[in-house]
Amino acid sequence: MKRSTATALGRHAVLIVGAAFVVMPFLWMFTTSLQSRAETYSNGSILPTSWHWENYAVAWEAAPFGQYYLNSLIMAAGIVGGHLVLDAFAAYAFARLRFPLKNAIFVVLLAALMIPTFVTIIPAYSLVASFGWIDTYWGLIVPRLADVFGIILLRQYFASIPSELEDAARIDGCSRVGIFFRIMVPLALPAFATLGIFSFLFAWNDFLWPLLVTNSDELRTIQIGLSAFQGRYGTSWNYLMAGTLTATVPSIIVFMFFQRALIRGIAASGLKD
Amino acid sequence: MHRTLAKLAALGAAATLALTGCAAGGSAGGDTVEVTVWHYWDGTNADTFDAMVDDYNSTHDGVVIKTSNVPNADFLTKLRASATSKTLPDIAIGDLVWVPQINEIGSLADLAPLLPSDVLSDINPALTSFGTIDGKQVSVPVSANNLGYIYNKTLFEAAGLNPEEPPATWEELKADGQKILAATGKPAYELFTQAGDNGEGLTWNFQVNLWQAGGEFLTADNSAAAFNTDAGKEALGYWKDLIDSGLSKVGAWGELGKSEVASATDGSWMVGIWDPEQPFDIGVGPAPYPEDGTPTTNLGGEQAMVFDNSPETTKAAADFLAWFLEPEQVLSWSEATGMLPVTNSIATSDEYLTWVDDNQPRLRPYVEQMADAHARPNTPLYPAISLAFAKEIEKALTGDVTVDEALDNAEKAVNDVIAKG
Repeated sequence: MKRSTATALGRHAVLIVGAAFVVMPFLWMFTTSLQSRAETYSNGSILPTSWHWENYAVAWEAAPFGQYYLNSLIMAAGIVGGHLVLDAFAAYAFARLRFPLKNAIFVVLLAALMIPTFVTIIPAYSLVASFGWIDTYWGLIVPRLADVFGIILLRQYFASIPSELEDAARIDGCSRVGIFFRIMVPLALPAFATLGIFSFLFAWNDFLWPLLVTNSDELRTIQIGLSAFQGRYGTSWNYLMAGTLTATVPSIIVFMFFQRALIRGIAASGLKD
Repeated sequence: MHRTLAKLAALGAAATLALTGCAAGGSAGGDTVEVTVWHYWDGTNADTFDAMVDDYNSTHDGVVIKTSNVPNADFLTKLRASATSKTLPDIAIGDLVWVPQINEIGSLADLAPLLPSDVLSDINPALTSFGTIDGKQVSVPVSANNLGYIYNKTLFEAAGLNPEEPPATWEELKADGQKILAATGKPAYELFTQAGDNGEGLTWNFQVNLWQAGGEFLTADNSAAAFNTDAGKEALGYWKDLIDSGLSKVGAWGELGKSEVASATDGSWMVGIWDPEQPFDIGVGPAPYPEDGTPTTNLGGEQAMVFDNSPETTKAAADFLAWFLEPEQVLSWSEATGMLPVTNSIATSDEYLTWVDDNQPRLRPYVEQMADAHARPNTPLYPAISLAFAKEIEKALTGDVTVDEALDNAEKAVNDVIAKG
């Protein structure tokens, strides 16, 4: 009894320290977001010393952030949707279908993971420019509709689903497409949730690509808007932190949404141990 | 489960709708020329510029100026990407030191024949000569700033000094500094002692003292280091003396704003940044110079460049810049932003100086310094040179090498950068 209490206390002590490590930067962001500009340069305190709530309004009004939010949401929705649909099709093909050079193509795909994004940015930009997609939603979304990481993630998960389930469906007269939508997708929901979270965070936080392909406020995303607080002549840390905290909210919501799907998926399939 | 799928499908549908709902930026109809401007200004600077552009658009037919803010940290990256596929803006407004690099990114128009000669001849000569590369006027300044002496009046008073009389020379700075150190225990003068990841903070501050002592940073054709001279030794010796006597400290920049040091050489833009909520009682004077030297300072600010995209856009872009450099616009830009005027006629005009005295008297020393200010060498290698220089000089400040050794090493490092090209 005593021993287990001590174990529990020890475990919680470790967890509390871990949680503090995670929460501390956010707390500091919050504190900084409430300081006056002068304080941000002279005051290193992590506990709030002043309460300039108006910083949030000032930061919001510094640029058309409403439009930036909308653009980020549209872009993120497009990219997440693209990843979930296109990655899943490709992943299923690699996991279950038989076609010539399947393994060779998969190895090439794996190799593509090792190419840094920055190497492909200029060619991708040239393509998008030649399509006339600079400063459009097309330019923001289409080049990023599918990604290798998602294909590999889903392929591994599909491969772990017993093929007996598919065979049974086939015997009952289910088509290949039916098997994909009725058997594989529901069973792989945890993997889809994981991919959804990753894709959303990637899209929401992406900076360089949206910066390159957009010029007008009508198409700019939230991360570019935030970078304007880091000016040539000094950084407005208080507004930057206020804006960044506001911009973090959708990420947290999406995480909670997909996390529920993740847990529900595991419970429903009963396959993941 | 099906509901989740349905939600995803709805998201996808919404995205598709949004995609089809938008149209490409396209050119304006009729004979209207569209001129795009990229700049990195934020806050008041951006708002002022946008308002002036709106004013221009509403008073000039046949042309539409469109502005776009590009964050300064990624300005050159975006320009380089755009240069690969002919999507460059018509005007780029960027930091002065970028001009030689931007000149290599794209084809810049020669502005000399496109701008009225009285506009060009009115611009501060150090700034126009900076924008002259291979005989072409590739850039013109649109906004300026320089380095001056900013000090904490409260700490000056605490040391029994007259808070309205900042030191004019290095010798006075040292004498005042001893009193401040003795009375307050705080260092008297902040030096930029760390190279950091780009070196420029140290380098451009040091150039002020180098020029004041009669030295040059590079040779006139930017082909070799020119600072390893008696003047260079005098300037670096001055920095070393300040550190050895405890008047300055080796460490991170930014102590003046925390009132942990009594003074620093800092930019004219700080006057505007600190103005709304002053972190200390701010005094400003011209950059102190050696008794046997000459007063001067280092110029910064933004220069405008025109990419030669088409004859129509180039002409329209130059016309806009000519308008922006007219006295009326230079005056309203300088007053609204607190940046320094780029033309001599405004910098010395009663109207502007009266405005300064009435509204922002701390700018007065900066404005007066414009007349004898220098600009940095205009070579595309400058960023690499600046970093190589700062890394070697830093070692003298931390005491790892002597002043002479540091200058020898810096000369070699800078010449290596130039040789590699």
